[in-house]
Amino acid sequence: MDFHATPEQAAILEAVARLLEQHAGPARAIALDAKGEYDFALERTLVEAGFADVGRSDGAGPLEAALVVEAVAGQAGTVALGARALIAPGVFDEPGDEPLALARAGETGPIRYACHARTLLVAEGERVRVVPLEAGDAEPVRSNFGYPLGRLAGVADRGQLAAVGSGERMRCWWRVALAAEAAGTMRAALALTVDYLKQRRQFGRPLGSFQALQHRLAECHVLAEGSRWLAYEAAWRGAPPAAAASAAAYAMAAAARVFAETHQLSGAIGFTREHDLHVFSMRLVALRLELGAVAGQRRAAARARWLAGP
Amino acid sequence: MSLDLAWDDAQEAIGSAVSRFCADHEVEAIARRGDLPLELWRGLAELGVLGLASADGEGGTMELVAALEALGREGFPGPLAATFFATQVLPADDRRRVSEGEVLVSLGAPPLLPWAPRAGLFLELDGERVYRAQARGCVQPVDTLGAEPWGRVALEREQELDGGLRAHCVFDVALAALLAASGCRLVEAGSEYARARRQFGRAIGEFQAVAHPLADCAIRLEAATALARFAAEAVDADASGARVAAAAARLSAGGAALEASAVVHQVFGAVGITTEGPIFHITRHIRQLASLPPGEAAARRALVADLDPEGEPA
Repeated sequence: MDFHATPEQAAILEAVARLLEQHAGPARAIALDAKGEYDFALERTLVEAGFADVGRSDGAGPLEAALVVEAVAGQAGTVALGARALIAPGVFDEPGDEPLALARAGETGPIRYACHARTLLVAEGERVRVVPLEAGDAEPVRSNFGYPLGRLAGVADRGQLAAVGSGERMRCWWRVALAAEAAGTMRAALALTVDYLKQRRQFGRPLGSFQALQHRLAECHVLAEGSRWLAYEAAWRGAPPAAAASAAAYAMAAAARVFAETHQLSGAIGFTREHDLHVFSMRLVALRLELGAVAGQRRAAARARWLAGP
Repeated sequence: MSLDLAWDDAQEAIGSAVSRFCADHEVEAIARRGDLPLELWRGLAELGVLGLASADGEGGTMELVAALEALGREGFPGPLAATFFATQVLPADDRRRVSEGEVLVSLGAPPLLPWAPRAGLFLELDGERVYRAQARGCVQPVDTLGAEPWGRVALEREQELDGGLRAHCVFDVALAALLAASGCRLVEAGSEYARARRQFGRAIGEFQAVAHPLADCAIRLEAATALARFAAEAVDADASGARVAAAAARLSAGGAALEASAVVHQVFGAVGITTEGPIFHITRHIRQLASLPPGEAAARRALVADLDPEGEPA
């Protein structure tokens, strides 16, 4: 066992961080969200630098992809990187045109990136339906979640069905991607909250010096750490059903708690659009609603743990 | 970074040797009595467990975790975590007596100390400082609900000891491993019972109100187990994040194991709270572990110090 970043992984993380500093961040996310846009420029930059497809490159794999997905989420990147870097490589040799949007069969609710995706992957029982999308397939849906959402209609019977087994692979990798994104998003939300607690003074001292608040921060930190490591481990092991479902179930439950606590601790300023917390906290809500929400992840975990055959 | 959480052959061998030892020595019956025969403790020392992760014992913190997971499943009695705290800070001679099972360690801050009536060696905690201490006068025994012998005692400090930071790390990792493993044992017992016990014409495990909390506990315990193993690796590698990782593991395991106790007692109903029942000796043990000094507050302080919410804004 060895849980420390190798020199290669450290180099990837450092390079991604530098790139994101320039090409992502909450201010950019807010600007894009105001226009309901997708960050094609960031996606192109990540692709050109080799990070978007790091999971397919020599000497790297899904763990490195998870690290990149987490980092991009931590800077509120408005790109479908979880689908590209983790899910597609785990399911297909040749995915359709990027960006990719993700759905479950029969789903009628808004879908992340549906208006900008060129391919829709639908988990349809044992298979994945790969649906090429055209302009006008999706209706934009305005929301507070910070991701561009769209509603699709009339695409249910288009496209090609991939091999049997691809459906389960997609769901498993989707869970890993959600966990990695949530881990990065939680860390960013917590970092903002810690910063606020340092600045804000009450009763003559920084809020962060009050033990009751420190303990709540500590609890959130434990949840974020647990989410991160479970996501890494599930990615590293190739998203086996039990590990993937556990990672997602843990991360989604943690996200609920971190959402509530960071808002409680940030007080009124946390509810304003002047403060960046909402960029991350609202994304946590959106992530939680994907793929059957927390209850869906828990059901999957219970199924994989107790009902799977030998 | 590679993230294989599975044990290697040597660690696997430690775990199964410990499990065999527990079966051979009828540890379950002993744990139910809330007893700790000295021969049992010495036997554990002879097996090499009490010397793990110390300067002269074999194996590191990871091997210690492998052994403690096996012991945690049995609710093995005794000042285990305190022993491994002690072997990090004591000078060679004392360390040998502890790791050979000659003396039991009492670790905490007076007046109320765990295992004090039976301890041959006291370690006093004062914030981050650690002292080797001696009992002044006699120890007044205090019965606890967890069946461990605690005692009220005045201590006289003899010597301040170095190595407290690493000792806190090993202590938290050890406690996390014990708590997570005890919790896992509970959830397994609970889910087995839920499959067998029938009400309203079906197994109670088929009711979502029974199944979901059990699944949730299993996931939280899995996370705690993973965090304990990650932290052990960080301690062995002397990584800068070791203290934070160990604290996170302990807090995660404590919360998950206590939650599992509550949920599994709910599943078992009345049979769960009888001393001869299937789980009481384990949940009692979890309560006891979760309340050991240095308490969770120390772990929280370590985490919070890392977050640094009082410092200058970034």
